[in-house]
Amino acid sequence: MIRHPLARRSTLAALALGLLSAGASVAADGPYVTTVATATWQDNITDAPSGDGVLGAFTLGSTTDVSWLASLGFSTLLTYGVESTLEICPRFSGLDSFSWGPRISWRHKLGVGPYAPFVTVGLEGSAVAFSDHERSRIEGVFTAGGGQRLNDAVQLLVDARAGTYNANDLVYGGNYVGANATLNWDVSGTWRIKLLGGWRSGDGVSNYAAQFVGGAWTPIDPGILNSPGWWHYVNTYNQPFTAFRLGIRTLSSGIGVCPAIGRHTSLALQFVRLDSKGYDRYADDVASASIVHRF
Amino acid sequence: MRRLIAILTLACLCRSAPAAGIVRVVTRDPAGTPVADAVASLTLVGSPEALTVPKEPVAIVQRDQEFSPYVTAVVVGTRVVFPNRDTVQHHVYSVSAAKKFEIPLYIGDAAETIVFDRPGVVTLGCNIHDWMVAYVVVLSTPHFAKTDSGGSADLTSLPPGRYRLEVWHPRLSAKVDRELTVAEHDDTTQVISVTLRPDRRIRRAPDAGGADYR
Repeated sequence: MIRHPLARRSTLAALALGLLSAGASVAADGPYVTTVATATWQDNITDAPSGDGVLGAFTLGSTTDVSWLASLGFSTLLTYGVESTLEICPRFSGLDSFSWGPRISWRHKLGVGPYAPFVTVGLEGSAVAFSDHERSRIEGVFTAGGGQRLNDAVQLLVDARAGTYNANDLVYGGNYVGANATLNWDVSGTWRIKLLGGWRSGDGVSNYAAQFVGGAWTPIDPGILNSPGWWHYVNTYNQPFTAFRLGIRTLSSGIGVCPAIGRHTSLALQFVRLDSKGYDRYADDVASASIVHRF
Repeated sequence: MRRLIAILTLACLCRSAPAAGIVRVVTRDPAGTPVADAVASLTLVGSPEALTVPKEPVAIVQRDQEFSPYVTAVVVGTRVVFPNRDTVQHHVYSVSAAKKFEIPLYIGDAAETIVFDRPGVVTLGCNIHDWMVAYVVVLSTPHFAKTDSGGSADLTSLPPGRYRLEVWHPRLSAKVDRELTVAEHDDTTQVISVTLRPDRRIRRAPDAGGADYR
């Protein structure tokens, strides 16, 4: 059973407020502001299996993170704040979105020095408003992760996430779990190479090109109708599609190059390939360029 | 008689305090570029000299999430304070054999003063901001100096004698250790060619992944 979005929204809000109150009760540094401007190309933004349904598009995004740090004793810190993101998709304006949400994470370093590993546990909440109102959702994510610096130049970071999101339309809601690993290799004081790998399992949406048959929109490949889950007709992509909420497993792998531009700014060029298996198998290549600035 | 007393007094003074020498150490890399922040020290061979410990503590400041100065040279027994002039807390530590200590998260003036009571090189860090690094070179000789931006360091007031000259730098690839003799009124220049390893400090610039700490 899926709860009404408003009920989930109030639970998340209460949780976030409680955590923020806990953080505010101890001495805190901040606010620290980080902004990220990103241009992204996805060659299969529809997550379609093949044929006419595979459409590519650019998105432009801007994220601002405002956070505070609080000491919780020896080698333990609490980070809390809010993050907002604006995304514009010039080709498919229905995907334009704005998200805002609180986040809090606890971090403990197991020892002293740059080579001591650290662990983190966190909660993130966000409300996302899309131009296509039916996609608008609220989301809550539990995160756990850690990092280990192998030497001055190489650091391994891992994180696991479990999330639930509830949209205005059932097709765009769901739950998922996932894990990611990142290897940062600083080949010089300026240049960083990133190797990325990830796994995600849970609900997702795959879009199938549709045709008008017998007075109704149906997918061109009718076999998908045998899959369990919700589906409906969408007009987000300027041509007829049916969107299916499916159980989808995704493996991701990628590489990035991140040159530093001074102490507070860096550029990030990244390519990630997402291989997914829902009812069908499909891929999505994502190339992005970002500028990150920490004030 | 007065003249005789004056002559004897002058003779005694000259005997008890022979004219001091000066050694200028100039450090350059193989390309001829001056090397700053190198610590040059001269240790009298065979007879340890008395050390004068500064009455006031030496300060290593944290500002803009960096230590300043990057390299500090002190004599054994010197007290060092670590004022934090940032708006963010720092956790200063050392795991070096010459001095292990930690000052857990603080802001402003730390309550603790650290006494560097053994000779050696002490690497400082911040347990929150991994890119922050600085060095304290603790010496058991009163004769030392740090090279300036021109790669030059003057060691003055050197009694005549035989000395061991050592040069240390955080990125030095090979130890510099040589002997030299300082005579009265000496004013010599020692040009030291040093090879430096690449500067492999932990990167500070942010990352789009957001995993960096701040």
